[in-house]
Amino acid sequence: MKITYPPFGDARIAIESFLRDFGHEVIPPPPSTNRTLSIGVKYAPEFACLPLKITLGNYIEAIEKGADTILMLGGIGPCRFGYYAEVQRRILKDLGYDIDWIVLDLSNGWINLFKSIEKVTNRSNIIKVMKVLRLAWEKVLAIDEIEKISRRARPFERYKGEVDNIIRETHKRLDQANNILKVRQILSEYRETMDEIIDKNSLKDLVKIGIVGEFYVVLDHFTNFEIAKRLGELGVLAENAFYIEDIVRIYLPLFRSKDIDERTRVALPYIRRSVGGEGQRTIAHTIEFAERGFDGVIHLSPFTCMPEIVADGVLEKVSKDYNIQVLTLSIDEQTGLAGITTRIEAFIDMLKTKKRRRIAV
Amino acid sequence: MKIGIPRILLFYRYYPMWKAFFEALGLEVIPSSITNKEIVDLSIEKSVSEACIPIKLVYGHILDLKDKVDIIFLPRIVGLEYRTYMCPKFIGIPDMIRSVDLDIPPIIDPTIDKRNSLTGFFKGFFELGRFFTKNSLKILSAYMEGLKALKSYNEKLKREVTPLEILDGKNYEKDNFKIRIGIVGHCYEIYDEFISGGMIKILNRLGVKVLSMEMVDWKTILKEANVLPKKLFWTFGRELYGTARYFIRKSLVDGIIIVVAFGCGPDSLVRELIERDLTKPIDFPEITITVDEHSSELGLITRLEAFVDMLIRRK
Repeated sequence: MKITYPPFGDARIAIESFLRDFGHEVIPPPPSTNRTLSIGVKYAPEFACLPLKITLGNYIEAIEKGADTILMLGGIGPCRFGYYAEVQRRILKDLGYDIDWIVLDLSNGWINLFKSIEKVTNRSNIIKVMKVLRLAWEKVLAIDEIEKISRRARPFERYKGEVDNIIRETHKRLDQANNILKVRQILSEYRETMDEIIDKNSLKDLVKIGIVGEFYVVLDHFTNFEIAKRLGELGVLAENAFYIEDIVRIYLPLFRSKDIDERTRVALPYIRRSVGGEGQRTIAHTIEFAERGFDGVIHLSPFTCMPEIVADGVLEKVSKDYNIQVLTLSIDEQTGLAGITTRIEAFIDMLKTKKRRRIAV
Repeated sequence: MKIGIPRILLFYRYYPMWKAFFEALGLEVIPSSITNKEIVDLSIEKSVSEACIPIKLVYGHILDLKDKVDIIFLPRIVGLEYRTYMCPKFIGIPDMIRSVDLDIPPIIDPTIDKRNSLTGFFKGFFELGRFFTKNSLKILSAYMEGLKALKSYNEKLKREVTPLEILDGKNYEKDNFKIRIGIVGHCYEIYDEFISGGMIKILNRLGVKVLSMEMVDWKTILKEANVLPKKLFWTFGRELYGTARYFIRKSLVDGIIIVVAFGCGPDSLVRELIERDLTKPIDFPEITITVDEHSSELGLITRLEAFVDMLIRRK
């Protein structure tokens, strides 16, 4: 069994370590490129949302490298994500690929879910499972921490690409790490290196932007045109509303924590009931950033994403009520880098002017 | 008191029930006008640009009711069946409308959610009735009235009459049909003549008998859809898939037309399933028509004519 998985952002390091430690042969999908996207666009339904297209491209590229099994999550709506595996399964079959799917999904009953889990864990005993999970979780936390610190360091880079180089190096070491202590050591070394770059005194003078929206687009660097990096290079402190840890906590019942619902509560006056996906959370996070004194919010969503359209419908009012500037970027295969860059730059110029004026007063 | 109901979304499915229910509670029911140019223009101006055309039109229909009524009814429909959802936009539409400064009468938005309980439907109506009366018995009897009206409406539809003929007073030609075509699409896309471009009328003129989802028994449709290894979790998705499968399996039609609104989330996948599971393997004639506010009637006629000609030649 040569297994592959849908990658998003840096989560691939944790997923890969997780699968490898259970003794699977893992064929990671090659990093997403324009080729990935065009393969996905060619075979996916025209009006499907972008993550479906990109992950389809990822699968096909992994299959070209020899993968024969795909690990995926399922779910019960209302967002389209729950049906991804079903549609992609049919597309790959019609293309003539003979692929095994392991879909972790409760909609076919507990027995089927349990069977799938057994396949993923390679019939390991519970102690082994706990151990592997623990290490993968530690890596998730480390990946998030690396990302968070990099956001603060990038505006102070001494030369272009410095932070990226360090991250690349750290990720490589993290990938090799085989116990928790090692992971922690790598992280603390990374922290020290970054501390040298970060200029703590001028940190508070930076324009601060929060990033909210649909999780795949927010966390996958290829899909969002490396927006965090671009913002950092423009001298902006960009913070995500959530990282991989939060997404795991939201979508995997095993890790679910109560804080999630607590955090969403502020959105209730605007969206009274969950609309699936990140719809309601987008509003909650925007309010959160406004209350924390951020200068602006960038709202990212895949084109035609249903929950984000609802969020988009009420964001204008939220923006007015909380006096925070919001830039909505909806992304599909037609979106170009130049267009995104222009809009981001204009948005930041506006925020900078506003901030200067406020300080002057 | 006058209550307004926008003539969009589930109007063509539940209007008789809503009307009977409200009238039993002593309200005067006023539906919005049939979609016209003004409604369309207002909708496009006020709505989220990325939304699908039916959702956009809600804005215009609500504005159309603005000066005519005291209160507007816009339910938050979460699920119409056990373990299925509506599209997220249906769940969020009252919130979206409230967030725009439209200067409109108050909106009542009871939650109708049948996902986890059999009584979900009634609960929604009970919540709704509470806005107008404290008398539970009165609500219950109004609900019964509503169900009765819905039942007789559904029976009329089963006799292959379209909702348009019943609700909008349209009259369609009945005989001299050469072929039969099944239209697979949401009621608010097919029966809103702006959205569908008057598709039924055009097809009738071309000598086509049109069958739609409303004319098939609901339970049959669901049974058809439940053959999927993973059941679709959208109510409409299930219905579309089930209808298409029923039409094809029973050879009730010579071809099917799938009507999809531009940017419709669930349909983007459901259409793919219908095509890959049902029509492509047996080479069944199928055409997909994507509709939005820019569709032109001429383009539609050309495509329909070509499709109908093809079907007649095949026969």
